[in-house]
Amino acid sequence: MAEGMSVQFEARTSQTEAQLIEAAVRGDTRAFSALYDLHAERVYRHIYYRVGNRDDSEDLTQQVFLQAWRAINRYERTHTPFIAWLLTIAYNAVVSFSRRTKDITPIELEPATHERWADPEAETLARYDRLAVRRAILRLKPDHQQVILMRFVEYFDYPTIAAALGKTEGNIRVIQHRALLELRRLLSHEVKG
Amino acid sequence: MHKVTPEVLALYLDRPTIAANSELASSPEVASELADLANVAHAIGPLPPVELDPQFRANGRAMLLNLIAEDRETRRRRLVGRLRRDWWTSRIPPLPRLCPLRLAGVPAFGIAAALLAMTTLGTGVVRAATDSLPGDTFYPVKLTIEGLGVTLATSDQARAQALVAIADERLIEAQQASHRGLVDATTVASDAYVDDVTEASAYLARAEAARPATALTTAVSASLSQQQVTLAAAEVQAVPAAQPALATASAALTQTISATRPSQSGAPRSSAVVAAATPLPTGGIRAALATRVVEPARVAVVTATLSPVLQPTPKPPIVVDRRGTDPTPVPVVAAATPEPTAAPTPPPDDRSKDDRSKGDPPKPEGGKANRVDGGGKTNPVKGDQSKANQSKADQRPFRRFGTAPDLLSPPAQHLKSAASRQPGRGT
Repeated sequence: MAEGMSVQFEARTSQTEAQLIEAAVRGDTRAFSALYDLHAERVYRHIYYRVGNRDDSEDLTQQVFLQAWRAINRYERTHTPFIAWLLTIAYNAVVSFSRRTKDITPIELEPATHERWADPEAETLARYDRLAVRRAILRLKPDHQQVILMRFVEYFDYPTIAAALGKTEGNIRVIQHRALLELRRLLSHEVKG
Repeated sequence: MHKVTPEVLALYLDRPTIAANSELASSPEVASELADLANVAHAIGPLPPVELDPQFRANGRAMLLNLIAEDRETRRRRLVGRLRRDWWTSRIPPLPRLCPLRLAGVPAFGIAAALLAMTTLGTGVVRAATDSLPGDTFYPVKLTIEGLGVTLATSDQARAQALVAIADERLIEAQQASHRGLVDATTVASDAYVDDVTEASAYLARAEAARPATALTTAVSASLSQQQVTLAAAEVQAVPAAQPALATASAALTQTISATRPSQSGAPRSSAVVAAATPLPTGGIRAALATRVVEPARVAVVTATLSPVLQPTPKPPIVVDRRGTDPTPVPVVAAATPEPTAAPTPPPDDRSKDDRSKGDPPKPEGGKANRVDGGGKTNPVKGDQSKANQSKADQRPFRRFGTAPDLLSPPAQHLKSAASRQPGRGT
């Protein structure tokens, strides 16, 4: 029952999104700003995981949406979910940003969160794990980072990731495999260190 | 011996129970490896949520809309810049004094452009340019090719015909761009359309002044009136963002039509006087086209609505302007269109005879900078651009080249051919 309602809600949301996209393609800025409201947080989070800095993440989020506005006429040809398309733009923006600022290391490693932990010991352990995982993800190659985040943070399926990144599903599985191997190696170093 | 492949890992991550029970995971090494990698994957999952800064959430949308507005304006200016780019005309030396082509009034850069088009551009490029819209890569090629006719034309009549044909092309581009939702391209094409129509009107006025050619004037007037119907329909069908540009073009076209139609004196009326005396397009036209689907019957209704405005009026008596040396007869406007407001009579054409002989058409007053858009607001950016273009236009006698259709043939035939090109183009 609940699953059926969820499916209905998803369908309604995607229908609304499709209408908004159609209006935005025709030059309606209000529709595009509604799309911004829908997806800004997700794009921001995706960028933040990779950049690790609040100010840069905000700037890049704006940049991603501006680029999306410029290229929205081409979106229909990609046949991917809109958020996947946005995250692809975000991926390119972050890669470009990393090239420009390769000497700068993220200084704000602790994400802003309002989580409250009942058990201080569990909080410490979880935070340590989170920080270790995040640090390890930031050290992956850009395309490995992208696949890992889209798969295990955004929970996209393989066809969507493949369409968004312009690769085959088999290629995405290979990248996922290599990224997890690399992540395991980095985490084992973290533990030893 | 089995080993962990990307496919097995993907299966294990998606459906661990199935993969664990499968033959592939039967090996202890493989099972251990799969479990190990799955633990790494699960460690990624519970990454903490990152919350957007509330202030950024509140301001981000407005900031984005500002960025979009700036970006749109920048791109529009770039499109206009590409449209008006004529730097190469000043770099080509003039033809020898006794060259027959120079004597015939053909400028050097026209020949250079023709040679350039014929030699360096392949037919594929030309074909691609034919279907291009403002902002496309080959669009400047299209402008250059079409402008050849204007430059190579040796009479004002021919120039007027060529410019009306080019204006027709701009109108088709505006329609196509509007249909595709390309607001910037629609704006650029409709602005260029207004410029072409205005320039054609100026050439026509000068041709009429030199030698009355009522047939040509009537043909041009009929063509413009048909374009007005098309423009009104395009405006109704356009997306909201593109409608102001088309409304501006429609208003400007109405003024030009009134200036172009044969007057009682047989000579065209001054653009400035007509601009002051002629009302803007009636609300009835757009009201008649208020529905999104424009059927042929509705177009007929619009044509009928416009016909009183567009039909040639009886010729007024000729009054010769004695203030200046220009022998151009100045018609009495009040006789043709009784208007209470006395619009200032335009100053006599005080340019030297040499200037006029170079082919510089008399510039109509009330140009784009002073034009009012459909919403009643003056577009400051467009005004600035128009001033810049106007100053550029003052420095150059010709702007573009093109082939002129036979406007003396029935106008419906001419527009039918233009309309028949329309649906399949650019796709």
